[in-house]
Amino acid sequence: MQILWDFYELVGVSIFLILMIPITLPCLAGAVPGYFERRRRRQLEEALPEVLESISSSIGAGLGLQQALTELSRTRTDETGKLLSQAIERSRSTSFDAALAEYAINSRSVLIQRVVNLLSTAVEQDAPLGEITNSMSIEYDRLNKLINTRESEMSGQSLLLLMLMCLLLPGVMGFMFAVFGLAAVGAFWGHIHAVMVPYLMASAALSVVVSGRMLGRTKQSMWWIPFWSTLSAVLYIGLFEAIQVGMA
Amino acid sequence: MATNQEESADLLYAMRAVMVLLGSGIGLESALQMIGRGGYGAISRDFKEVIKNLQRGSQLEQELAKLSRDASTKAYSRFLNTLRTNVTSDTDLLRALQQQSEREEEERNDKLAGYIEKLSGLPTILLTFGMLSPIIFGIAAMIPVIAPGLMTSGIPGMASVAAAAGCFGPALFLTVVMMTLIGYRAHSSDPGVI
Repeated sequence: MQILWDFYELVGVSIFLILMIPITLPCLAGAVPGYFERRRRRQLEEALPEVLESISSSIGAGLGLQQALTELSRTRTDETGKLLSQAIERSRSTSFDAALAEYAINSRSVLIQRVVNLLSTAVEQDAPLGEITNSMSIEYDRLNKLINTRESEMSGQSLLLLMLMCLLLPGVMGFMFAVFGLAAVGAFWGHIHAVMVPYLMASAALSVVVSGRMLGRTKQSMWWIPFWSTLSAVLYIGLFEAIQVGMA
Repeated sequence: MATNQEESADLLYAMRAVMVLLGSGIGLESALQMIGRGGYGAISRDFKEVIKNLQRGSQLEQELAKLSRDASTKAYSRFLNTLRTNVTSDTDLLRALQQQSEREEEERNDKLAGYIEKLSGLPTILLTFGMLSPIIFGIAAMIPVIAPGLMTSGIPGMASVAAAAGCFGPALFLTVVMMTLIGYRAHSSDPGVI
């Protein structure tokens, strides 16, 4: 119990911090599902070129689109296979077109929705599906490579930004203020904390937004603002207090 | 009207979709109709409007010319002009679109590489601002705390140091504003190709 009171006293230096801490947990609950959803969507998108290539070869071997997709749903054990199995199962009670549309909607991916839309139009117009799926497979393979390039190049920068602004900056500031003015020798820092804590929280929030924008997912990154802001402020004030107590 | 980024983001995919549809024997109007159904952002909205106007009796050539005039990016305008030329002069649309999409893809890769390069120094710039500002203004703010005797020592300029100490809060606020402006580069320079 005493630890909680001590923590409350520690964070009590700024009203912003007191308000932000209760928001952190619900926002984390919003951020984590977004992360998993994105991973699932990317898995589906990564599998898309391979799926299209398989459809193209199956059609080349004389199968129809429905047969090609049924074959795929049987052989694939990943998320794509699961969604395709659902779609095929559903097509028995509805139409194949409706099942394809459901697959596109359930994937929650714009890329897959585009492909399904294109396939539906091609089927409607009786176009050569083998050629279409083959050219789309090449195109989406290139696109995936580009998305992965952006992800790999930018994720390093984005992580660096978060580490520097949300951990290093408050750490250095807390250390510097604590070492240069020990309470044991009569220094009082209350007024500095009231300015520094909102500053560090604002810097952390800004870094989270910028790093999210770098990766092209600003909205999703906003859920992480309370977490990083709180972490940054608690690290600053915690380190400051720890040094003050340690050197007293 | 769609923004530069909105048009660039979906142009290549719309172009490729038209190519795939035309290559498989589907007519230009049907291809436009398919794009207009959705999934290609601003381009879908534009084409939906074109199809709506065609149903009211407007000419495809005029509609494409109007869209081309209003386009924000050169690439989109070029794409629309290619479609229009095909309507008026029956050109080899597939070949023209093939060349355009290759060029567009090359540009997309260059733009992305440029964006990555442009933002490579951003974390360090933000950290420099974020750290220097509290240190510089913090020193002034710390003097009355660390050395209270100095304030009453009669050394000239101490009054302005005391005044600077009072500006610590506004100075940090300005720093955050400045960092926001620097960080905005991540948004403004995004080519919007993915």
